[in-house]
Amino acid sequence: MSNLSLRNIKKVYPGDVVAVRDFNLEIEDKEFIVLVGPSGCGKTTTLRMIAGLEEITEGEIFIGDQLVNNIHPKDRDIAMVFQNYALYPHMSVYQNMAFGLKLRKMDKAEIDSRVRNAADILEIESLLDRKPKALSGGQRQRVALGRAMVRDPKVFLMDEPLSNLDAKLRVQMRTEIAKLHKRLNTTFIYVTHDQTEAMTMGTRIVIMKDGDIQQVGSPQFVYDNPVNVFVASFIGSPQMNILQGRVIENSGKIAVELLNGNIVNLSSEKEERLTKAGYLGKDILIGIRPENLHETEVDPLLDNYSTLTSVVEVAELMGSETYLYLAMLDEKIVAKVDPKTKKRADDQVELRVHWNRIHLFDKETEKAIT
Amino acid sequence: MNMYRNKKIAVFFMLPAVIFVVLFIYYPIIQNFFYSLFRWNSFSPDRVFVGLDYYRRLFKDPVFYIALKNNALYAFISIIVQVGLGLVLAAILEEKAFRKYQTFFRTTFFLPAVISITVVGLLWQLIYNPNIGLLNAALKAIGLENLTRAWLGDSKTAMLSVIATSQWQYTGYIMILFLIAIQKIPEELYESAMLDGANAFSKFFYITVPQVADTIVVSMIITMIGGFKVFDEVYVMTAGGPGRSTEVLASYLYRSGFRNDEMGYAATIATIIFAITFVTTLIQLKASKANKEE
Repeated sequence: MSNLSLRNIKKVYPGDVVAVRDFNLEIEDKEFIVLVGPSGCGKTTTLRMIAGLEEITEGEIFIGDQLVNNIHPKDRDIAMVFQNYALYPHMSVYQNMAFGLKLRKMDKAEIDSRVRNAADILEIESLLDRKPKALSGGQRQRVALGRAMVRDPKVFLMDEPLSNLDAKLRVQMRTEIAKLHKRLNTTFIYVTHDQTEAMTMGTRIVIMKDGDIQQVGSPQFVYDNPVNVFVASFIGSPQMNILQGRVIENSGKIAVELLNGNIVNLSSEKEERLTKAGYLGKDILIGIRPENLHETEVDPLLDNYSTLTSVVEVAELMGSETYLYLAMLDEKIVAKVDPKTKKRADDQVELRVHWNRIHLFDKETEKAIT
Repeated sequence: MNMYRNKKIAVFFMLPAVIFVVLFIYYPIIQNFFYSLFRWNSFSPDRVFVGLDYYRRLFKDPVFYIALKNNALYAFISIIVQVGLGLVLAAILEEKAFRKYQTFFRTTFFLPAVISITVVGLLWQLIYNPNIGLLNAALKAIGLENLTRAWLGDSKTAMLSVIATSQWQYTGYIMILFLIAIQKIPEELYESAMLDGANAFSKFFYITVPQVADTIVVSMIITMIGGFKVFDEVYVMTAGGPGRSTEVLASYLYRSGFRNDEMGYAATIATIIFAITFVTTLIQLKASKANKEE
């Protein structure tokens, strides 16, 4: 069993720098967990504590049923892929992959078969005699993965493994690592600052900020139900539009009036939520994802859409879609619309948003109103 | 025209250095060899051509072999102690647990290298002094009185005593070279090795040593050349004595040139020192290159 349990993990660096505050997470066997957050959020520190490269200030880490706080990294049965690969420059690819097994005094024939098997899976057999210097970034990445694979560890740790690759290769390796996870069938813990990697690879993602976990959940769940403004704007690209508004009663219905006077209607379930929590007449924040703003004509009587009026500042043609950057008084918003749009800079535009696609946040705490 | 591709400008910029090297290094080497073919002294108005006579004499000279053996011992022990111990010390000081004490030890170990050799010589003469010396006093204090002796006065221990002083003086210097080299090794290599199952010893042998291989070669060459060129330590502490037991090539050169006033013979010894260091350096460089390509 290779489930992990992190309980009340805290890391304080000398000089009272708190890197991780109170990290609690149960990781199931064979999960692909992605720790994601901006730099300095403590995600790498957390990973390094799991690896044993960083001392744990407080709390407990269990791998399986074993408390590993005081267990040497080599005895934790984990493998790690480093951001810059950390291949041994003076060893060939084969030696790099065999090194861990050799140190563990494994039988030579067994080492050979493991290295060749891993090389076969990663399609690097032809590179086995080369030194890391003679490899491209993508090839080094594969060797680093291979070196972790041959050990057959309980847990795979990866620290931003794709950040040194070019954009195209990154997309390709993303799917390869996801495939590798299926094939190896072990627990993966993956650190990244890139929300796309988190969304596409993780079975669950852990969003962190300033040493605290913000939210844990499947990518889709987190995307649909962000717990606060930070998560809402961190996950998704381009990021969610956050607008100020006031909860009002408008012809018998609870709605939100934006700064420019636009009225945003809500689903009845959300109306109830706001009333219950006593937000009537108060300022709140609403979140609308760019892809939920449409240019289409709708029937305001039959369809559950509200309309935002605004002026285009920049129209960015991406090919498969067009991003409209708009100004609503002082607030900037982005809409991801159909590429067939005729709208260009300085055009007036009406955008529709479905009532169900509106996220509500408290203005003070920035937490989702539930 | 691109300035960096202009060969004329490149040559022009290199010229000052080239002139210096030729004038003060290559020319004297050749001139020294030329001098070794003549019998002359500092007062003689003319030089007598003797061909390779001095070389024949040198190879039959028993003192030359004593000196050669002493130099070889000097170089051998220096390589083992300065390079070996220097590397180990540097690796220890770079270990996580020792890093906070590094500044203190680094300074302490390096300090002897900046002290003038005359001071060091006098200092160690006192330490080795049979009557008031620290070494004998220390041996007596721990009950090893039978090991006490006149360290520099006994032809059995004089050479090793001088060599020991050199190790004390220069191990710290070589250690600094290794500290710099080790600090350049990416930390992730050690971390990765740790996860791969490496303990302190395997980290040292599989990561540190191969990663500082270049520095090992360079410092081996430095200490080897130092071992064959050594003069001041010997001259200050024993001046080649007792008898000829601590004679080294350089002190023999000095004796031949300035005591016996046989400049030709002194030049011959100088040529031999050059030949030995030149050839051994070449061999070491070749060996390290072969190692790298393998």
